[in-house]
Amino acid sequence: MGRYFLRRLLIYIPVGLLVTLLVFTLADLAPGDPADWLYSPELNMTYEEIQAIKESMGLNQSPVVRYVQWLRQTAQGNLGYRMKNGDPVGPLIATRLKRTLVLGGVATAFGIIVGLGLGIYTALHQYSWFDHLSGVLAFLGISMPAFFVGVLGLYIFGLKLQWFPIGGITTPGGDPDDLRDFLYHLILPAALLSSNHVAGYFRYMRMSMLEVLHADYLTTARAKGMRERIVILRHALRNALLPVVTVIGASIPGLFGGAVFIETIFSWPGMGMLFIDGVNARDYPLIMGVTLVMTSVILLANLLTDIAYSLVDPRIRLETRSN
Amino acid sequence: MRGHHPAANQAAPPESAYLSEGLKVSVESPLHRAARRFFRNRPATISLIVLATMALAALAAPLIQRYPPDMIDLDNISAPPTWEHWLGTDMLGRDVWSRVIHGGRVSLSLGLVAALATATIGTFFGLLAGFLRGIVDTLIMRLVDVLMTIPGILVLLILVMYLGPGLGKLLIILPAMGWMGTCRMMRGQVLSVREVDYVLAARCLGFPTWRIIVRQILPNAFAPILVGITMSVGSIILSEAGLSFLGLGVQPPTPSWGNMLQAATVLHVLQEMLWLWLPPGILIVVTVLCVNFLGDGLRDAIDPRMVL
Amino acid sequence: MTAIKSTRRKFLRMAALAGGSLALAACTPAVVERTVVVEKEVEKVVTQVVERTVVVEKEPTPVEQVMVGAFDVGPHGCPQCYDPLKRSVGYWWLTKMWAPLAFWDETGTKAIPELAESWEPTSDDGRVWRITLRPGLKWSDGEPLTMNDLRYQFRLMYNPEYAGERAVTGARYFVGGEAYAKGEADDITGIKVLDDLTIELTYVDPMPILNVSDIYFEFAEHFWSQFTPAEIASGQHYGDARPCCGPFMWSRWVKDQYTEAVANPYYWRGRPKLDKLINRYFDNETTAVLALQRGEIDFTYIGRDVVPSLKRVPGYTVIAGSSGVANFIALNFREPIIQDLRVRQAMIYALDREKIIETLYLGTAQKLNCLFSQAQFNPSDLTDYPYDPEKAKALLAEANFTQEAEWELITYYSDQLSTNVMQAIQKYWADVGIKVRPRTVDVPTFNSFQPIGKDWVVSYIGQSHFRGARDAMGRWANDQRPDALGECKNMHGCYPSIDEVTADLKIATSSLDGAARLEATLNVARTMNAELTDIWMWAAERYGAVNDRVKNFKFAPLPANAGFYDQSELWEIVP
Repeated sequence: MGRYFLRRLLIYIPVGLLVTLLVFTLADLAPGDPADWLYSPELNMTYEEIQAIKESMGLNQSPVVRYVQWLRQTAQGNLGYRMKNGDPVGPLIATRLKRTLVLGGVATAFGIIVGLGLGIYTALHQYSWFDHLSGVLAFLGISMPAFFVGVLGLYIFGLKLQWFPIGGITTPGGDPDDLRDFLYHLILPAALLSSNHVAGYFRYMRMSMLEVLHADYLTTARAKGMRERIVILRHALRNALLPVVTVIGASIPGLFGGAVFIETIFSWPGMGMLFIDGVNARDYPLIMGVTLVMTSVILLANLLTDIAYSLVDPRIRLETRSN
Repeated sequence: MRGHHPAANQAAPPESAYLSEGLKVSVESPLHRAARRFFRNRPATISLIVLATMALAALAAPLIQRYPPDMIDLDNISAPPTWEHWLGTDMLGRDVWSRVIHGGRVSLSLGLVAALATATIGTFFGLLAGFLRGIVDTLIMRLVDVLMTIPGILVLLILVMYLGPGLGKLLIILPAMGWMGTCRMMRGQVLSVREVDYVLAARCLGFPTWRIIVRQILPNAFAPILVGITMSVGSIILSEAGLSFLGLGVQPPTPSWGNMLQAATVLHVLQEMLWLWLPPGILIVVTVLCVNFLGDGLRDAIDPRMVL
Repeated sequence: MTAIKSTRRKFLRMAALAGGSLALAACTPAVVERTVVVEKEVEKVVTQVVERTVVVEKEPTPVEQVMVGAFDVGPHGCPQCYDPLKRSVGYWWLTKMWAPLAFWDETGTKAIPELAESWEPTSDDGRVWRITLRPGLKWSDGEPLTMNDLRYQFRLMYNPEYAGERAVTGARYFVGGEAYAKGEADDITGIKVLDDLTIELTYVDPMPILNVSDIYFEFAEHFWSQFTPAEIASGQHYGDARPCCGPFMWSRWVKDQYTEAVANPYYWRGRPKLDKLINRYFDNETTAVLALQRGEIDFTYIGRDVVPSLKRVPGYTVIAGSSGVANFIALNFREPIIQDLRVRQAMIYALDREKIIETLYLGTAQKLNCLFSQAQFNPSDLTDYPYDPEKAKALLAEANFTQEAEWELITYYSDQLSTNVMQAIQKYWADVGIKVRPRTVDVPTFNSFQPIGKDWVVSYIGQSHFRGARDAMGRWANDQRPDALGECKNMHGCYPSIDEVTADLKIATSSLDGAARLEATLNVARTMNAELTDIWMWAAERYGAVNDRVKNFKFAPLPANAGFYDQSELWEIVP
């Protein structure tokens, strides 16, 4: 079995490298380079100045040389520096990733709580007006483009109702480490982002709950004289939750970069804006850094899953051995 | 028989199903059964009608427009709806009603074509992986693993950086984001069917691979592919709107619901020129809703237990 | 069985992913916020200064004098650009903390002395300039500000260890600069400090006008000399609290969010009225406008589309100013049909420029018939080219105009207004038989092919022009782009009279005779107009919006290097 996983790992490494090579090629072949982004077409930079910038950025070397340089640097643990302002890429990604994960995590939590709650309640009170209303609202959440939800939400809750601040993660001039300030800025973008998730969880929970509510074993339990509340909580809910947990798990990848639009509109300095900035500026160390981090995390997670799964299910262990 | 939904009514089998003299057996075909289940689902039926109407309107766009969608009239810019211009005019004096229906053409056809392309690519690679197995299978599946969990928006941005924005490029880029799901599903289908007796028999008899694919595998896979296509149409339309916000979607002057909606990001338009963004916005929401209901309905009609 | 397996598998995969990512997030060391470290250091400096300011400060005003603005939103801005080697715009915010030798006023014609008291050429050939500082200037930490700081800054900027290749391109304007930048000499002979207040600069080419607004006192010698040039180039110290000489001084930089500056008690015009000035960063202009309307910020640059609604909201003032940018349709003479003057004339006659200005710009742009909008650079005998589609069609017929295929009208402007303008151009030209298709590309893509004349026939661009002929050199002189395609090393290719225009531009930028310079500039304008080297459009206004509670506020939406005097030391919050 160990050999099986070793083989898997050995395949993942070239695949990861392949992805970085692919991304690098695309970034390199894209028209324009980091120096071309650096100067506005409305100003006058002389040819010599432009060439000097390109030279000092190392852009005149062949792509192969640059890719190998990047590989070597990365192998030593250094993800390079942004072309735009020399920021080291590694710590930058870490900071931004944390912020995006917080935003995405809270949004998913909102989505789970609200979605599951609504799903359970409406399943229990099927065909009520509340059921229909929730259905419509939930579906609206997934049918509107993300940027539009953001703009509309910011306009209504930020400007018209003035319940929440307009963007940013802390109040300028205040204490950047203030947790309450941070949470205050987090609520609106997270809530708007969660509108996407609510619908999904709502549907699955409701469907799953409905299925379970009509099951035979519940009828038995009721016939035995169990109180309705225990029937629901102990039997129905637990069984209904199983498939929903799978769906929750499936939405975790979205946490990493999926909040691009909300981040842009709320000026939430996270991974989404970082990546867009990198692409716009052809900042290939940044693009590569982000790709590498994402790919590694994903491949690692895959591997861990496979290991965990094989430990949990003995059939897999036997199967892999026979492989 | 596959599991039946506990809540569904059990229809009494038609009389002619009873084996009686003459051994006349008339059984309801799966298609018929599916259609019946589908039409019992009200949201799905309504969605089908709505979508069909929209598609018809889009096709007939040149007939139901009053002015061409790109006719600029600088004397009449930003006019609210009147009898002359049913939905008013935009900032260049173009008729909004006309742009909305032509935009529907673009958005709906983009959704459909991109969805079909996604399905085709996914099916192709899925079949490849499932049939050839070995190193090809491993490579493809690992690639799918990675691509599937990298957030789609990142893949999208990288491709747009390289290819540039525009309607034609979108037809390449959007499928590139979505083919993985179909690929996995197809591969699963191939693997499950591969070892079944009649396929083994076919292979032993020397039937060519393509025939096996067409005769045995595709018909079984057809249903999930169809449902997948309907679901992708919705997400493609939303992606196009999102890309328009970033300036990377369908480029003006070609109208699309996405690039008409993104005008709403300007406060002035959002507050005061509702006729510019409300129609495309509502239509996007309605389309995505209907497409989702349709997909749900199809899935329930064909196989309620399908895991997609 | 298959179904259950895949869901459980998926679940475990995702659980591992979640766990892994949480672990990753948790384990990143106080990776953090360089700001935390920086702030501790800043606190030390600030408390020192605060102790001193207690003595100097006037009566505290009753209202909290803190102004928050979005100073880097808009085309003039460069958010978080504290590395001089990596910025080309973004100077407005910088001037709040580091003052130049002199400012321009909003029209860009009058120099307003700032740190420099006077400057004059001291040789007949205009190559030697002597600049004198005001006496008694101090950095924000109390140390005296002298010309030694400026010399240190020049030496740093042109040091190859710091600026690499860019040292050479920058230094070669000074005598002895190139040798120093290549590492061959220890010092720049053309930069001589005569005493604490006086410096003498010797240029290689005659310099008729000294661009004093381009020279900022950004690097205080007593602070920066503790680091090696390489260390400074690494960028790790640009977040440090360093001495400032502008109205405000560095307080802290909360990365990706805002930069905070506090009043500099040592500013030579006197301590500013505001206590704190904060520059808040926004990814999206709409959010900045919403924040302005909500009252969270006091100022932001706004796009044309927003102006009508903000003008109607009480409590805000919309400030309009000339953008200093001329918009025009550049022509690529490498396309044979463009070389026919009648075709070019048809192109300009076909456009109803006045109508576009009236409807799309709501009358706030100035029609141009050459590159310059300033009255003094517009000779009186320029042809106006009014809207005349019939004449255009006639000219095209005369010239036997044909197109092999539709042309692309390239631009890098992505705002709604410019998109609309492009479509209006498309329509007007289609009316007379010229087919174009608008295409917007991003800046890197644009810069990769348009300046060398590759793959385009017409493109809608903007060019800063408020400095006159100097701004025209880059795109109209013959030798500026050695990498351009074809014979003439110019974006346009070989346009008629290119050599005459090049000669005129050289005179206009280097002759010491003011009258000769003016005449040469007027000649350039005449050629641009008669030969239609480009299809001239307009110089538009750009806008900023400020909350009325801020008094004495000035804003000029000039691009990049235009340091203009905005009297920020007088800005005051009066509710």
